[in-house]
Amino acid sequence: MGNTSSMLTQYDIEDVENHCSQRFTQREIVSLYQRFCALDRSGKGYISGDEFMSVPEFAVNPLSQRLLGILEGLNFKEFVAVLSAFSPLATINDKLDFIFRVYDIRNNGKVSSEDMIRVLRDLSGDFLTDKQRQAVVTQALEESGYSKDYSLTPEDFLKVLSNGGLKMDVEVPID
Amino acid sequence: MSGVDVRAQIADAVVVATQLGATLVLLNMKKAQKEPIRGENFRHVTENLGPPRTATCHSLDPGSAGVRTLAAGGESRLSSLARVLRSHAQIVPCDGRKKVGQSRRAARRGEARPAEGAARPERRSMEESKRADVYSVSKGGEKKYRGMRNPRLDNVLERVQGRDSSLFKPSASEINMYQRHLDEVLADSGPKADDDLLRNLLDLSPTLSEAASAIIDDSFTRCFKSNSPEPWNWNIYLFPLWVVGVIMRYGILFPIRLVLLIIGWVIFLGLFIPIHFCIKKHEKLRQKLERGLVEFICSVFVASWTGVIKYHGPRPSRRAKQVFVANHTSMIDFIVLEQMTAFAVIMQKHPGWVGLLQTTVLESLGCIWFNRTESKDRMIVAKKLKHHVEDPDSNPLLIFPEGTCVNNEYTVMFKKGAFELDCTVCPIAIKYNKIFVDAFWNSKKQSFTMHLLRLMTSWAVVCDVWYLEPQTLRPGETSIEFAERVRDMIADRAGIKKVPWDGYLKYYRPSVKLTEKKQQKFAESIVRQLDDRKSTRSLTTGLRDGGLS
Repeated sequence: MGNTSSMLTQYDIEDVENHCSQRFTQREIVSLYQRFCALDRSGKGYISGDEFMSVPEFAVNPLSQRLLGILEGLNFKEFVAVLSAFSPLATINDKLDFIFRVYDIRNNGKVSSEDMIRVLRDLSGDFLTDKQRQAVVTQALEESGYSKDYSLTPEDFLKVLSNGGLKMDVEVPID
Repeated sequence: MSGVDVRAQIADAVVVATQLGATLVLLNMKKAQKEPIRGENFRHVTENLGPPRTATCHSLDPGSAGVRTLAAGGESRLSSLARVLRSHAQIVPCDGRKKVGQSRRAARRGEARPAEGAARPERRSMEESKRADVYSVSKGGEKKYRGMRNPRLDNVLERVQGRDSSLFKPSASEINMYQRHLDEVLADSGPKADDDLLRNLLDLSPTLSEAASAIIDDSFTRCFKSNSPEPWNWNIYLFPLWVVGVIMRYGILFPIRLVLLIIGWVIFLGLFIPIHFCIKKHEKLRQKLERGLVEFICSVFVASWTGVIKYHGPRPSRRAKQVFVANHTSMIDFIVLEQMTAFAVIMQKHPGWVGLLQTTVLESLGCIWFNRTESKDRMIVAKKLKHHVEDPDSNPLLIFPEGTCVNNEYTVMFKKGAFELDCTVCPIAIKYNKIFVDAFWNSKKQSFTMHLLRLMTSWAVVCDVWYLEPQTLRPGETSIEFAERVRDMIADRAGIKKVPWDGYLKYYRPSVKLTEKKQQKFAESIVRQLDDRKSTRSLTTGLRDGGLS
């Protein structure tokens, strides 16, 4: 895909911009499109899991599999919409929604302690035993005043994570 | 009557050609205008939603991943399968359909990681759970992740040298260096004991930001991107000129070059074979003649693509204990350098006619072959290298420490193997000018034959070669630092950028050890927090009990 910017029209850029609620500027969207086409080597219109994993820095990330679940097979519009949580213009709610989405794989609107244990497993690998993980999660829930079997809702996420501020910004390079 | 016939035929031909030309011009102009029909060119990226989302388990079962990506390809599936079955010739159309590369990579992954037959609904947290803990890297302090890579992560990652089956496995000293860097990076971070534990657990923002920045831009992919040139010929007056150019290149220049090449080969083989087999007694004379012949055939090759090559700096001299290193863009690097001095090169053994050449002609020069995919190979090759360098009669050794072809805008990490041979290292910088053709050989996209054909049907290959000052290992410098220093010199002179990634990551996933170390750190910090709480709790209960009793 050599001359990618000629394939984007103004209509398309604005469409994508509206879809991501103006979190990315038009130049950033053009940049993202070039990146999308570079990653989508076979021109299918979406990026497969393999293609994501061929980026070494992504493959090394603990949560790469979960992110693959969210990101793979998306067309460009959806791709930008999902990544808009990382824009500096995104609100804290956007970011929290994204984090919630990473936790809540079963998509039932709640993050149970099981979900938390699973994410902890991704982050810590084999260096924590199951018991330790269970203990950590139970401890964390109890310390914050929730019961052991409580399932967190997005509002709880907001309460817990909003006081320190959430630093989850990524800059899109514009050439 | 025949005259009238001929004229009529010519007139017909001219009319047809004009019509053809006109249609082509119009088509091109239409393409150039890009009528803003809403979503026409964009539909494939806005409406195609990819494979059904229920197929989430393909990354759990690496063996079938390649097949599934093939299946998703649609109409080119059969041709892709055919290509997969063929062993090496990967002649891929210019739109870069890489089904072969993908399925080969998937197959290799299938070998490297045994298929984990886990329960499908459980989304992959157990099996692929060796992950880097980036959680603690950037806690505290304003850390905004640019689309460029995290420079601190660079320092950590640059020391890892690929997976176990690669030629240059990370040695103990490298892992130590990696660990030191890791410690430096993590020294000022880590969740504090009195932080809200739930917040620490739920706050995935550093990890996620790293992943997102890798998705948005990463320097590794940029190293291997072949930038296809912007078309300049879509204009009514430029297009005919371009057509004339194409006719000249394909119709006139190419046959001449091909003939030249064939004549050159005939002369070469005609002289080389007798010399190789008949003059067994006078070794020195034979070697000298063979060297001269190889230099000759390389000059023929260079002439066959009209190579305009400028050599700067003093020509290499033959001495013992001397090794040459250069940055690598394509296999023609070797030909370009060989034209001036007969080097003995170490490179990957290729299949096909290139392999045949390697085993017959080039071996007489003292060239050494390795196989990237064999791990035991490494010891044998290292021994051969040492032996070669110590022999004063052997040809100067040329090594490409990057280990893979890079697109001549960047250099990837130099492997330290070339720098531990206890010799002077003479750097050579090569920079190709893309004005007529891009000399970068993307080995996943085209075979060497196609690459050569592309070069031979272009106007010229323009390049600069700089022979730089020989360097030796400074006291107190490790071979990795030495390699970096030489890489700095080469990148500076050739005007290309440096990237701290290992080129072998093109073929292999990053080593699991890297992520395991970080997971360990994270786990330790969690355990520490738990212990702290336990101890404070027991302290308070102890005090309370003590107070009561």
